Amino acid sequence: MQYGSIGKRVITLTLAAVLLVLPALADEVLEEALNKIQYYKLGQDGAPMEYVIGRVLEAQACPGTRAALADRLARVLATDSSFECKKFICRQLYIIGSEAQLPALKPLLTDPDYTSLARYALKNMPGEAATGALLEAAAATTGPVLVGIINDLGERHDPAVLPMLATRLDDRDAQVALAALNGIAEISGTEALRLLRQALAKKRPNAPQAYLACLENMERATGTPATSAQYAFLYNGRYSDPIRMAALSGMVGTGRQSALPAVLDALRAEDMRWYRLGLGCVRRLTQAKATRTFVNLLANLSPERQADVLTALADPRTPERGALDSARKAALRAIKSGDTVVRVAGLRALAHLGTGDTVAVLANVAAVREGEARTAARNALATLRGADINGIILARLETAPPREAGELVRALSARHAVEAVPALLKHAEAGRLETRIAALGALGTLAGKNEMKPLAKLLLQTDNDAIRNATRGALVSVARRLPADQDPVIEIVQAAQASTIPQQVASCFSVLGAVGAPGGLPVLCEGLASPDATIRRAALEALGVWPTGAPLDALFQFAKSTGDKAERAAAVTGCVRMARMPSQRPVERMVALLADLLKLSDDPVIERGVLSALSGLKGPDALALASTFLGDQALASDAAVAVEKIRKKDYVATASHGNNAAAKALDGDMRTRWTTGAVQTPGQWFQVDQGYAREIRGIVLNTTPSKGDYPRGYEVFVFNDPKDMGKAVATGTPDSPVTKIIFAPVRGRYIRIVQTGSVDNLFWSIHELRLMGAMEKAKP
Amino acid sequence: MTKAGKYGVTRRTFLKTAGLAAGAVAFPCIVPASALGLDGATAPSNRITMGFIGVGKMGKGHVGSFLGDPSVQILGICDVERGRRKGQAARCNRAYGERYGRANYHGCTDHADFQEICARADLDAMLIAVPNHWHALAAIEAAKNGKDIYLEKPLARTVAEGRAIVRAVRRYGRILQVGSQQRSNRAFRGACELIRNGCLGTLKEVFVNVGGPPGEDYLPPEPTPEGLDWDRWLGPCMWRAYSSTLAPPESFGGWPEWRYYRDYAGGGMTDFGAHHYDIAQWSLGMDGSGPVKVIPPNGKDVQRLTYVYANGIPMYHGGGHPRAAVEWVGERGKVRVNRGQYFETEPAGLKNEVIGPNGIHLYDSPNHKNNWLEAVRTRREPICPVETGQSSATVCHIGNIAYWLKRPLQWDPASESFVNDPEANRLLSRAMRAPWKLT
Repeated sequence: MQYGSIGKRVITLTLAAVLLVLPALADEVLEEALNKIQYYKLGQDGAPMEYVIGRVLEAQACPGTRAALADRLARVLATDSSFECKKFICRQLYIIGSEAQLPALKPLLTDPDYTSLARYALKNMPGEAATGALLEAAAATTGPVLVGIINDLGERHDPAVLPMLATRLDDRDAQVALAALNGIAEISGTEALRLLRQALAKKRPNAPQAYLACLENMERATGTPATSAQYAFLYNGRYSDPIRMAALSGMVGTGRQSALPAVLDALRAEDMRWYRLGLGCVRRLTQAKATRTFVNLLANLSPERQADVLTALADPRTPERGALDSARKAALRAIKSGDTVVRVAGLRALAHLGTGDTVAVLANVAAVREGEARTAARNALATLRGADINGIILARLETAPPREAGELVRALSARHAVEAVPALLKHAEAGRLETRIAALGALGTLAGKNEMKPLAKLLLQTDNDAIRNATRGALVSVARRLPADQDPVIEIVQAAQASTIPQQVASCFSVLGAVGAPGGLPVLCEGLASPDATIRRAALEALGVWPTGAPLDALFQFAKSTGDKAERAAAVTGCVRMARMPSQRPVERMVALLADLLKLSDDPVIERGVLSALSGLKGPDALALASTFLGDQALASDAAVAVEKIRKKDYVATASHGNNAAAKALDGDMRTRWTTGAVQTPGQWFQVDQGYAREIRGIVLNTTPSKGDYPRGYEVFVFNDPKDMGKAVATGTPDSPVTKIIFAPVRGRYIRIVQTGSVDNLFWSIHELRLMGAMEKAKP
Repeated sequence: MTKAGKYGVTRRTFLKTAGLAAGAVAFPCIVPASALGLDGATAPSNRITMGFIGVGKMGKGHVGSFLGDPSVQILGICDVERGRRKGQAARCNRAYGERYGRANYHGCTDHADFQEICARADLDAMLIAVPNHWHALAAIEAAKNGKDIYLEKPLARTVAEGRAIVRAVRRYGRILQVGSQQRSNRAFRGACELIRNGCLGTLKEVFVNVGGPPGEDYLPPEPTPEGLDWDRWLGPCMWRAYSSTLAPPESFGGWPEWRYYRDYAGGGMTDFGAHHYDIAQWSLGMDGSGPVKVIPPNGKDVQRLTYVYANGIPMYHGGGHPRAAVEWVGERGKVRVNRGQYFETEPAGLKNEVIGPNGIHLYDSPNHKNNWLEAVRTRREPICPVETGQSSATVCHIGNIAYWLKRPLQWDPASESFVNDPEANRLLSRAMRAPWKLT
């Protein structure tokens, strides 16, 4: 019990001691860090600075420690510390400094070498004392140091500084006078504005810019916007274009229509910069009177400018524009213009200004015009905003002439008007041919599962080829869009099974093939066995374009069994196409199937297809079958490519340097490479393990994209035992980016190329390596 | 007073004068007939004359792009590195010489001083691709001289510098496009449209994958290379000796690393944040605004820097799907997007959702550069105007400040200040070395 009590006491005392000692320890570390920082030079270890930064950031949220730490840091400034040290300390005082550190900062303020550091620390330091320190320094210095101090004084927005700045407006140093001018603008207020008016009257450089800034700063500070007259004063004066443009922009910004005459002048100006500014003003002046004024101006402008102004009036970013109806009427007038530029601009404007009343005219233009005008009208119809635009389009559809109806249907599709689907289905089923076809096109985009059945019915019932094709297109589009769990082709399958008319079944098969959904596969495979040639060939065609390899076996069996040459050719073609698709089928079975396919056809196209399929496989069987074509003059080059690709799948590349990227020398991509990443030196090597022993007669090393990186010397070894490379089968000293190494045919599993040369500053790289088999021609 | 008189020397007049009296003007331009629209090519009234400030890795890529555009004529190149500016000016002269069949064409001149090139009366627009610490000064100078601007992202180095750009651009009635070009990409726009139209239902959280905050600069000093005006490179920043890490030579080829140091930029947060946070802001309809809280990770309950918007939606720095730059998680699924046209949704069919004409259709710009040129010509706002650039960059900046101060911060997007937090507000602006000033 007593022992336990003593133990508790010991723990308590230890904790207390630790708590007392910790700050002391921390201060010790701080002192050590500051000692290191005192003569810090760039490039030395930054750890002491990082420690101090950590302390500063801890302290900034804690007023007590903040003041103490800031004082401690400021004391370093008074020592003979290095420039980098002072810079570092000032950065920290920028975060935690206060008026208490001003005595340490003041001497630096007027020192040309350190003034920017002290100003950095003083930036945003609250309190009048900081302003006072800057004012004091301003009185004691000149030149660039004074410029910096005046700049900071302006940004403190203290009107008490104005008298000092006013005296500096006449400073002989132009930079000082300019800084004073800008400072006055920054502080702003009535007195500042008066001073700047005087400066303008005296034509002081940059006075207009300062005046403009002052107007803006006043508005920000007081919430009272500048008047149009205050800007007009500059606009009407003899100032530079940028100043007068800014003044006009300011006039427009006040929202007063008094700017309108100046804007109209700008819109008529020859100088494109003024004209462009005028266009910007059209976008900003949105009152009804302004809109009407701009509309009235249109007739007096060139076609290009009419188009620009119309576009500006229809800017969708200013939906609050007044007298929109006036702008809309102008756009409607424009679409009747004899000038294409104006006409198209009118149509584009209607995309934003148009209403339900505009639908008919847009549909008409889309129907009768061509080119840009048609595109603009179609876009406008597609994007018209409003509560019942789709309803208006549908209503108009009932009475519109054929071509116009087509455009209206097109618009419904572009607007994704799913509520129009029942009406579109009705139009698809009966009526004028053009409208029916257009409606079917729209249904392809808008219809869903519910429409599959009526569309399938239409597919079976129609005797019109155009309608059948359009219906087929719609069904394919809808079915492709439907999720797999909705069995997207069930309605088509049912229709095919229900029909006894071969042409109808063929139409259904065509849809099933194009969709490629698994649900369609059984009925198509059954179709291959149909006694009716129309049905059989339709099934064959559908399976031939199937998106996966699933029908491969069915097609292969059909190819073997059919007596019809054309049907067999079609089946074989389909099989070859599917054999080239990714498959889970074992390689040996695939090679055997391809070999069997070759027996069914002597068509070179099929043979090339088989070679192409083989090149996607690996292993000795695939290699052997592909190699049989190497002696065939017509197919030798295709076969060589296939052989190379098959072989490379078994290759494993390793290297003395850059081993991780060794495979890039075998990836068939000249953009990638293996490289030593080090200058060429004898002994570096690159090795290929072929997986099993093969006969080879040459190697091609291609380094073309890194032309200097060819090996300066090599020895080639071909061997089976990794512990015994034997003698080199070839040696050489290449001098070009493509190194062809030919040697007597030799059998071996491993090929190692050893660097024997050297060169300054260049790596050894291989962008692509090719091994030449015994039966290959010597062509690299 | 004639129109031309009223509006001073017109650009058309200037071009003609320059063509007739090359050598007699401040910036000699040999302007061939085709540049004046006499060969059926783009007429001068529609041609945008451009100057470039900064032709490092990014800038020279832009030079190549605009050189191929016959509706643009590059007349001046400015850089603090002599070899770069002369090389790119020579490149332009070669290209135009070939186009106009004039072997001795030298209409594109080079400038060491950005104020000099901005003052040229014959330029309509400036492309600015300089390190971040120069963005505000260069953009404001261009605006003051009546130039339209394409400014590389992020808009600025600090919140205050960005706001100064916004004010100057609006004061002088200029067009400014920020180079956050993902806005002009179909996949990013498509993803944002899904979010804006509520296709995910109630949005729960957003993940944005970009690099981290900037660090301190302890880089060793090196001898300043011949031809580089290092003092100008530093500009408003406090002095330090040259470092090739900050301003590597032309042969370097990679992205210079000034972006990772606090004096010059905002680290990965602003570098790619200006792209990906920009997309997140767009999707949330927060252009011109932003989050109201930013909470740094504390190793306990907050694992990632977390922004919170006024509607309660959290946006995390990092996390989410590894392939996505931005991932949105909603009650009905997920949307992910990244460069390389990566656009994925859960469920997959969500991305094919069609937005009807009465839905929210975001600004459609198929090409960021062309969108800017169109805006210059028509004064339609570009897709990423200055206010948008400011609010997106501000998201990055306040995240950096939260990382820096290691404590949660409340942000008022309207006043662009931290709420009742003078310590944090001090970090929104920095003093500039004289004579540089934001005006």
